[in-house]
Amino acid sequence: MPFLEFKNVDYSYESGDDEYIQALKSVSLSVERGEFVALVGCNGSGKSTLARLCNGLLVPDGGSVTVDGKSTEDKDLFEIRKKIGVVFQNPDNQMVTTVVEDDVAFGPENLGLPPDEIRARVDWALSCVGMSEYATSGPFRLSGGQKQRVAIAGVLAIKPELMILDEATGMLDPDGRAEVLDVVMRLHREEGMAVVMITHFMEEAALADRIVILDKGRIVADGGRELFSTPEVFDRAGLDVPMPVKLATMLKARGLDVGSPLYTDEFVDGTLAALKAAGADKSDEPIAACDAENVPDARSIIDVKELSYTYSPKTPFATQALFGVDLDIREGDLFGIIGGTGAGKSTLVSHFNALTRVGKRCGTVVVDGMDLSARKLDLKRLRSTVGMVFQYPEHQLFDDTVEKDVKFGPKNLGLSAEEQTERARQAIELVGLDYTTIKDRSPFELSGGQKRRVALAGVIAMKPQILVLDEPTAGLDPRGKRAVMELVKNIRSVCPTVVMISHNMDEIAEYCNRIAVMQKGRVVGVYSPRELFGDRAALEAAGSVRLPLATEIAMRLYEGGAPVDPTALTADELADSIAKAVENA
Amino acid sequence: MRDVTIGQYYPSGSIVHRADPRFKLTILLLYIVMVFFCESFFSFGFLTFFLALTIALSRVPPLKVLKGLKTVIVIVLFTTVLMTVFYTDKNSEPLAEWGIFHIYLSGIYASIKLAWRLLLLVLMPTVLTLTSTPTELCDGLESLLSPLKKLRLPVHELALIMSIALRLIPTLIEETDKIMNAQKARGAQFESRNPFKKIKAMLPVLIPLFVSSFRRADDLADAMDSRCYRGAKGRTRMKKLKFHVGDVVALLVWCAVFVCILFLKYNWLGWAFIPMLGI
Repeated sequence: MPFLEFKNVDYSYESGDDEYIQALKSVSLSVERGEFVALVGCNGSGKSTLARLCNGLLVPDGGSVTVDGKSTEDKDLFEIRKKIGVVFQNPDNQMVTTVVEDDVAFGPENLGLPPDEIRARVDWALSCVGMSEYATSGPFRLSGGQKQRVAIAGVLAIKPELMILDEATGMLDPDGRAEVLDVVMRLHREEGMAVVMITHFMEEAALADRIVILDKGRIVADGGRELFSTPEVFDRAGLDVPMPVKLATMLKARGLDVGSPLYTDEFVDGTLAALKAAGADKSDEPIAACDAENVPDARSIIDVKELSYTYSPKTPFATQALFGVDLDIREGDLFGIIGGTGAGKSTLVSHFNALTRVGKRCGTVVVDGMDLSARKLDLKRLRSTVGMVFQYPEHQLFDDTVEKDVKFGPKNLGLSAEEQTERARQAIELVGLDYTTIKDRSPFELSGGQKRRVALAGVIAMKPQILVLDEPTAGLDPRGKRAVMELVKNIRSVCPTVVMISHNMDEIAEYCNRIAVMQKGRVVGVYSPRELFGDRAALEAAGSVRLPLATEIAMRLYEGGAPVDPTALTADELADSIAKAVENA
Repeated sequence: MRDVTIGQYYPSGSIVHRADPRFKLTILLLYIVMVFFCESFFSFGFLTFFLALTIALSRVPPLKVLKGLKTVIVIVLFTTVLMTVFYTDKNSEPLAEWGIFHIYLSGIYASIKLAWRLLLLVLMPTVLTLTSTPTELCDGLESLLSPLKKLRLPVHELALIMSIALRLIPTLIEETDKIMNAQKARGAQFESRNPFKKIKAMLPVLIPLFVSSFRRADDLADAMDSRCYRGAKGRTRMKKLKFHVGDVVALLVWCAVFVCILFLKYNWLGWAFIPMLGI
């Protein structure tokens, strides 16, 4: 008998007036003890519904869910919940108390264990996730990755047999994601914990022994890692494949067989071997030096000089966030700002539209000719010049129809009614939505991706000259990410200058023409993507910057002696470069 | 802002910090009653001495404690002045008189005592919050109120609600900041004098805030359910509140102080030295 078993499970939920959306359609799935399953699917495929059905948070409309022989329709779910732990997506919404160890103790306390036993379990769970030294901290001192590790410890302390991670890395930056994955892999290997990892990051799914693909509420594939050799299955479900698989497929199309690699190492070895066989393992001519793109010859639109900023100055909590930052953003730039958590990226951009005011003797910021260190500011003009899209902008939607919400900005600018409507229409169309069908709908009943577009439209409707985006693709699935980035490209037809904060180096490499690297409140340097990612020295100077996936592989091939461009920034560039190497041989 | 959770906790690891929160809360209650039984300057001084002793033992800088007065000092001064000028004493002549205002010697005494009483009332709770975390106070309160469970009062649930509130208030404050910034960036203005306009201007902040609070509440409920929560039934605690000899000694000392204050007020045994201690 399987440990967790779904038998022909149907589930639908109500979406407004008597309308039902079927989230799961006759899903059958079983998970054994000790297995590591990745459950993948794009946003809206029913993944999270499935997670909530596992431990009886939701009960199926049809079919049955059993855990170790017990149905989740029983009244007493206690036994089931003891055996299945769930880690959810949002690190901020899972902690019950204000102290880490008390929070981890919450589960075992509910089990009614004696205090000594609880203490032992809490200490063990915290050491498993490497958070022992934070046992008495509050949640506000922790990063997202650390909070998720605490959430995992909270589940571990119950000693479940199966752990479900419901997009547990979805809201984390790359470092946090790596921390959490590391912990999960170790638990699976060392403690034999069965894991169901729900995700839309294919690099994560490739870690599992078994992959289950969910598409529009149905399971469309269920198998081992060999599934990756049929990328079209993933493509149909709206998913990507891991970068090595993608590259191998592209190379096959260009006539080079590198086997079926799943991980970077396999791909590098396979490609080096294939290149050798094709006689292209050595090149006489050196690879062309990276073409350093110069500062565009346009007028400076944001000019930051010697900018410093301190939070809660003159109190014991004072922390300096910016230290003499200099930055020159030109008209027409798609300017990327990267750097780890706490590097000061958000603080810096919040100066651009005076949400944070330039302090006395703290430097100057000049935006489109306006000196923001002046005491009196034309805020209306400034805020219609600089549009600002924050992280998860859909959380700022408030009005009862999409059109009214988008009009909010233009209305605040004091425009005429016709002008407001016209701007709303243009903005909604620019973000790729159909104006007539969507304008009267409530923004709250839209899908996640649509909401984000509406929120973007709300800012674009102000017709800014400069658009500042803070992590515009956070939390979206791969297709959603790409769609938003394409949108940003389109927006440049009306708003030429874009400043973007991102942790996603693939996006930064592909879309930005200049990149500022920030570290501990300072700008370490401003580079073109090729200067930054193609040059180990620049990277090291910039501190802990991750490489775009394609560049990482390109560099390893180059270092392995292959005549490929080590500065290839995208999969296409890299595949072309490898194909060219074969041709030249 | 984000430090609501630790309140104004000032960690120094003193014996006052380590004391059992249940005893601290009991002593606070006792102390408040005592303040109202103080009558003579001597008894005020007597109680102040023990307050000062507590502060000294807590190793919190006295200035930090006095900062707790910042919010009430205006009220104290205001009431004291009013009390002084409006106090009427039929048995004696006023020291000074302007129209409806009179100043009597007994009035000055009475208002000094009033001010002193108010200050004593504010300072001790300040010491309590400086030396205990909100979580400790929460736990202490739950434990002290637990006899009320017999009356079907949901003591555990109330304590849990308090704990979750402490956990989420800073998150919500942060969220409010974020949403306000987002709407400001869209040209919203929150600085209006007209209260109706102000409320209307706040709608674009309040609605998203409500939506996200409900989402958080749902998430948290799911997370708690998933971690086997089923109310107080069968629940144990990792950290059992434990009291030590020191806690009992402290409580006994304060009880003794209480008895002394009662004697100073009522002088049941008719000791001659008590009236000699002055008014």
